[in-house]
Amino acid sequence: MNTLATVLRYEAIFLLGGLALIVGYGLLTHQINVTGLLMDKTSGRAISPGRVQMLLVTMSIAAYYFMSVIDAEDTSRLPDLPNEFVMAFGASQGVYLLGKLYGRFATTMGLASPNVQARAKPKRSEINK
Amino acid sequence: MTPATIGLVIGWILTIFIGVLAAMILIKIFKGDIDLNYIISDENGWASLSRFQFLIFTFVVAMSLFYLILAKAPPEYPAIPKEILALLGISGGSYIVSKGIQSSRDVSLKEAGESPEKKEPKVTNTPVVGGPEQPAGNQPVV
Repeated sequence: MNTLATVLRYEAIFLLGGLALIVGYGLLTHQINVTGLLMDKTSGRAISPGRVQMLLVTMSIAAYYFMSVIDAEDTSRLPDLPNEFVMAFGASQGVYLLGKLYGRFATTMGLASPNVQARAKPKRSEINK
Repeated sequence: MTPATIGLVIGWILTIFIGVLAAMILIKIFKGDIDLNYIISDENGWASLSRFQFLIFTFVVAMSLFYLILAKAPPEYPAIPKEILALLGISGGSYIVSKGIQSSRDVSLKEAGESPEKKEPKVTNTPVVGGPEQPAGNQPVV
């Protein structure tokens, strides 16, 4: 039974570790497409602050949680994530979604910047045709 | 044959099956038969932050579970706290709302006679299933 557990252990390390290495290497060398990851697709801006903050919050929470798993003394359950982190994550997602919603409706409500309005005008004229 | 022996035989069969499957998946990814180029991209070819977030959380939760299972002797499946489920739920819900906003914009653009901006797919070594005959080597993915 011990041999079986050992073989399974190495199999899981092989599969999970291999996948993580391949995906990590692909992301770092751009073999996996990351074009436009931080771009605001609704307004066309190069960098979206909402996306940047969401990326930072996601990476921070992921790193914090993984470290707390490694430091965990009670191995019978995954460690708890403080409620503040869950709320911060929810707020981060909310900011991102509100930003996206704003970008979506800003042009039709006349709230967008002049550049974005200029981009949107030809579309409106086409609708009127 | 005792139940313990049957359990051991089934255990070995499953272990070998999972091992072969894992090896096949990794070899196919390595050879380019399984193309991960667009693993975090949306249907327009742009990288999606929501998909990237899913990818990160999948790896973190999977590795954490695996780590804790192995930390116990004998191995035992750990309990999952509700905060982690909430985290994954928020992430999933946000992805769906985000897709809704994106789709509504794409529909508006199509109604205006202007298709949503698409990023040209990169040329990879993945063959197109059912596509026209192409020379060996680089073939576009549709």
